[in-house]
Amino acid sequence: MEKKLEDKIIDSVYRFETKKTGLQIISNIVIMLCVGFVVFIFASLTIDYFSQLHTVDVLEIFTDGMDTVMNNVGNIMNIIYYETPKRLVTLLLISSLLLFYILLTFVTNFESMSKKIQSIIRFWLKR
Amino acid sequence: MAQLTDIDILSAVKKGNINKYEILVKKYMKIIYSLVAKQLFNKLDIEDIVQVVFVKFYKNIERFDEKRPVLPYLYQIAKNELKMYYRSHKELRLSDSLEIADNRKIEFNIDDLDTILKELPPEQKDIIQMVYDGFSYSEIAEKIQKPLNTVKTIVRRARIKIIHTYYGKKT
Repeated sequence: MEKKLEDKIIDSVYRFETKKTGLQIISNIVIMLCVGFVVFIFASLTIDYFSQLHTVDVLEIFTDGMDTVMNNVGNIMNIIYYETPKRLVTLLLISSLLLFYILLTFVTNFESMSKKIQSIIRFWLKR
Repeated sequence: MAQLTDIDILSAVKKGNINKYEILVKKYMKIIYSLVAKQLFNKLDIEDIVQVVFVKFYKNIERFDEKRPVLPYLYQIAKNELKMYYRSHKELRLSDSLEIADNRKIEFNIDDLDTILKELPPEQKDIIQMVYDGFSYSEIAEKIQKPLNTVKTIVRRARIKIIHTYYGKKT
């Protein structure tokens, strides 16, 4: 009787953990893909914006030597600042930070997640 | 292999080694089973509650501080589950058996029951008779012009007296 009840308890625990881990993995993947896609879109738009305005051309000053660069640092920064699409870059930064956070969480939890998956697989194979 | 302490087991489970939870279940299952079996008589109900206790503990294991002792926490879960069980199974039916709040059942024969009812004080006897006739507690309270909680208290006292009288007669 004891063994049967013990098995029932462990069975319930593994069923719960299988559902929970499965949902966690799926939601992690979906969130990472969505946020990654958003970052990609913002990055593409930002690069597109800069290339349309030829803002990057201002960096050609670096070919004129360090003295010229040092004398015109203020102007260069001003041009880049005024031509930058601020909202777009802010959104890009926020979404990049979010993606970084998600990836960091995934990496720190990876070991425990993989141990759980191994335990779950072993259990269901033994059944 | 050195025996694992509860702290080791809980740390291992939190790190993903779910199989270590079996050790905890083996260690405390008998104790929790005994606790629940003192309150209930139906084997299936006892097993269900014990199962729920350990599954609930597992679900909350991430939030549980492994330095705290496990048994009092399991006791608390078991007590809460028993409370919920009593709430969902509370009923009094008087026919030739008497079901008390926690599902303990005493089989009377009709003569015994009549005799036992006669030994109740008039107020208790009238109320128990009304329960037997199918009146709800609210209806009884309205009929006898007493608060609902008073009716419940009277019924509870009557039940206790019936049990004591019945067991007194049996010995």
